Amino acid sequence: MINDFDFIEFHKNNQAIFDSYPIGLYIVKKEGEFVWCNKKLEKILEIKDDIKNHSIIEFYKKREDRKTLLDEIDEFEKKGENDNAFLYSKMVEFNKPIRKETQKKMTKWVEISSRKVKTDREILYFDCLTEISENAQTALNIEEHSGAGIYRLDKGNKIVYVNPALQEMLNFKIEELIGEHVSFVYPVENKEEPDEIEKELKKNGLGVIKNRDIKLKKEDGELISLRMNCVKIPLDGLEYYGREGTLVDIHGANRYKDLIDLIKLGVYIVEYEGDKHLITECNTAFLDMFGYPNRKAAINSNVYKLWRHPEDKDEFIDFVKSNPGVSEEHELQKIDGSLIDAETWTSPITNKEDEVIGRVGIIRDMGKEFTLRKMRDDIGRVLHAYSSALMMFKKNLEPVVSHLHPDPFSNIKGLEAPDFIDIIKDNANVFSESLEKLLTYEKERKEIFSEDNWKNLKTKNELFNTFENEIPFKEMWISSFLDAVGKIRKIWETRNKNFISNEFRKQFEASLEELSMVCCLVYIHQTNDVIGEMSNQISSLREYVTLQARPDEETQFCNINSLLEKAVRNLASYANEKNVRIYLFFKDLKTDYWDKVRWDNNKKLEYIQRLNAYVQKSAITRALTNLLHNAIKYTWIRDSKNSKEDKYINIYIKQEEDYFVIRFENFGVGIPQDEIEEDTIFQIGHRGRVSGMRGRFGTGIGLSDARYVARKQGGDVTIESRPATKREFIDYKRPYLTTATIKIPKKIRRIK
Amino acid sequence: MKPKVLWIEDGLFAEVRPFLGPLINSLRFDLHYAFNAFEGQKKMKKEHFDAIVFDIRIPPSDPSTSDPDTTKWNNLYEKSGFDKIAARLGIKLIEDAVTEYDYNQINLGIFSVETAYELKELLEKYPEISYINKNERVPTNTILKMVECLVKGEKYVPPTD
Repeated sequence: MINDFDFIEFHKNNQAIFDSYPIGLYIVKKEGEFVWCNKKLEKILEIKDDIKNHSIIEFYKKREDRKTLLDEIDEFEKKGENDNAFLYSKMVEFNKPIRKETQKKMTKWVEISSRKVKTDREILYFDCLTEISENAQTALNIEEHSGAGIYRLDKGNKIVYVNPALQEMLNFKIEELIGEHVSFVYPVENKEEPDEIEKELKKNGLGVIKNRDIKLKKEDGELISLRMNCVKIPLDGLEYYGREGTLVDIHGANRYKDLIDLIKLGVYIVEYEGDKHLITECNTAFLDMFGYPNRKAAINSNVYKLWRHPEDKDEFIDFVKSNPGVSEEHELQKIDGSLIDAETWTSPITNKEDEVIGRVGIIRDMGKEFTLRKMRDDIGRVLHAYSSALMMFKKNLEPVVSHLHPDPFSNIKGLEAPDFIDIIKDNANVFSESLEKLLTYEKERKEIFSEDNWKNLKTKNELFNTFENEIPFKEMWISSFLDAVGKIRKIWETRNKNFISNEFRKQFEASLEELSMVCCLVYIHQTNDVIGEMSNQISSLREYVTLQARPDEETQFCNINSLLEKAVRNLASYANEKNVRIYLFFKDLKTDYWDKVRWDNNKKLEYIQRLNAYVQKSAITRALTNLLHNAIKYTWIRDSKNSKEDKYINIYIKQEEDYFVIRFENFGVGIPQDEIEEDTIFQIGHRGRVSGMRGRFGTGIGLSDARYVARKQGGDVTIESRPATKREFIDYKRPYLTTATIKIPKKIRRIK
Repeated sequence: MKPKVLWIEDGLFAEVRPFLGPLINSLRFDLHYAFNAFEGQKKMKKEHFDAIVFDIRIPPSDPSTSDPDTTKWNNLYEKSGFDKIAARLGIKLIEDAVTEYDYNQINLGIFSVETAYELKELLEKYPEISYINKNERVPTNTILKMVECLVKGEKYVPPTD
């Protein structure tokens, strides 16, 4: 038993010695009133007045913790383990004094070792108290002013401290956070994460988690990405009284990462560790491209597993060093071994000593593009074969037509219904008379044909008597006659030759042959016309398909007039076939008059002035040819009653300040306004609603290619279409005046 | 009275012209024609036909027609980017024939470049509709044969190539 007075006096007498101790020392009564303390304790607890005015309990954040401490000391005592001076040490959460400047009530963690001292008068407790932080004030300052978020949780994962930086990151007020379970700031789907972190801290022995990326929910619900580092409290031992740690805002970096993830190109970083070249970063497109199941599978894996020819790596490394960011085509492979044709752009990563320590790269899967390129080449070849086949058709048809003699349509170009209806009708009537005669053949009727055949002939005759009324569209007569004549011919072949006079046979067969020949000639001429159109279209299509494969044409200084002349010369025979005359109008800048010239294939044009500029010569010639071709194709005769009248188109050539303007004007098929406004006339494969009305063949390539060529060189192509004559309502069956205008910039310097 | 037949097809003067001969010459049908969706609908609305042959890729209307009923077809055409191939207005016309004008699907036939696979949904919905793929191998009397079946209420099955 210690004398109470002596025990206290001993400490008072040695105050100077105890004051020099780096830990807080104090004696308290069982109820917690201070009896004595050293200066360090006063400093830790920031006590300015007499210690006896205070109780240790008032500094406990949770008063019951003091009671728990005393109960546990009693337990030790019962076990007879209270012989040593300080028998128990425990982490306790203390209230810090209220900070004047922030008016925030803060907490601190202290460690208390206590010894129960029984004096002759009462039970006292002699305690040693140390702050967890060696320099509490410094730590406090760091916490308060750190740019990183700092937090502390109690053992129930409730928030006991957040520093201003973290409050700002989460945009909560302090009182909204303190006391809340930390899951409060986690998004719903990650509510379990705080418990997982606690388990991990307890499990891993070290009590430390480094660089874990988490997402927390801000006050407004927006998620923020943070990198967390935390330690268990206390760091040593198995006990868990909570945890504290830092949170760094990586939201900006993550946003950047998210952005990289949106890119459909593979992005990756490879770091060199000796001979190992490992993937350390990559985006989602990279994972998809190579078939990685997740990021974990890719990170830290050997990059050369993705190479079809890893033996080329040294050569590649050298190439990257001397050609950073230069595109290369590579044969790579997925992790399942399937081939990837890729284009890569790679740059080296170097350290301060300029040694290459890795590389960063972008990869584009060229598979689809290679397939498309191959398809384009294949289509080009097929179209070439089609062009040859069409040429053969046309050339084979020429002698066929010349042998089908006489040809009533030989001088008619671009055969259309009005051109052949009368001839067909006349021949049909002549044949009808012969058929009528045959049907009235009375002599030996039963011997000539079977009853069924007589019946069939009668039915066919009915057609020839009624076709004008029965078949509403003249365009349909031919198919009907050809079908009928074919069947009649078959029946005719079954006749008994002995009972039909030679004279009638000759007359009947001649009328049948005449009708079938004119019908066939119409088909052949029309087919020939379509083959011609088609051949032109296929050439344009082939040109269009293979256009992208060719390097851009160099610009040349040339005379636009001569390019136009070439275009007209190209299509002169086509215009001639279509009975279309071409007139050129050159505007004289001096007199402001239009000089009119009729195109003559045998004469060279006399230019009033030379229109010179740098242009892509072949492309512009092609564009002019296409526009002229359309103008010829869609031209009608002006007077529908006079089929002999020539059709004509006008080409106007003039200079504006910055452009040469060439306008192709034709009279004929109109273009609905909506097709011009909606730009659909420039769509490949689009056929104008009206353009097909007269059975014309077209794919729309010419017009869109012309505009593409003009725009690529800084010009443009525009279309206008208006009724050629005044009318009260829209009627596309009546002619329109349509103009296609190409503007070509007056470039007098070469621009690559 | 001859059975009334409607053929809705914009290529009657062009690629399908040879198919008309046998049909006309049979003299067994009262033939009517429509060159676009609007005309087809107008005719279906006005009178009943014993058989109808549909093309699928047809234009909406004659651009010079100002009838307000063209709006529906022009709008459908516009939605498809003014592309009759994408618009496939014949499908809508067939739907209208069955649902609005009470046609029995067995009296309807399709003659189109669309393959059966491309028309799978429609042909599964209306399994009794006759279908012929329009190609150069089809004999010119095929439409006549199909129409003969349609007016009798029989499905026409073309011989395989």
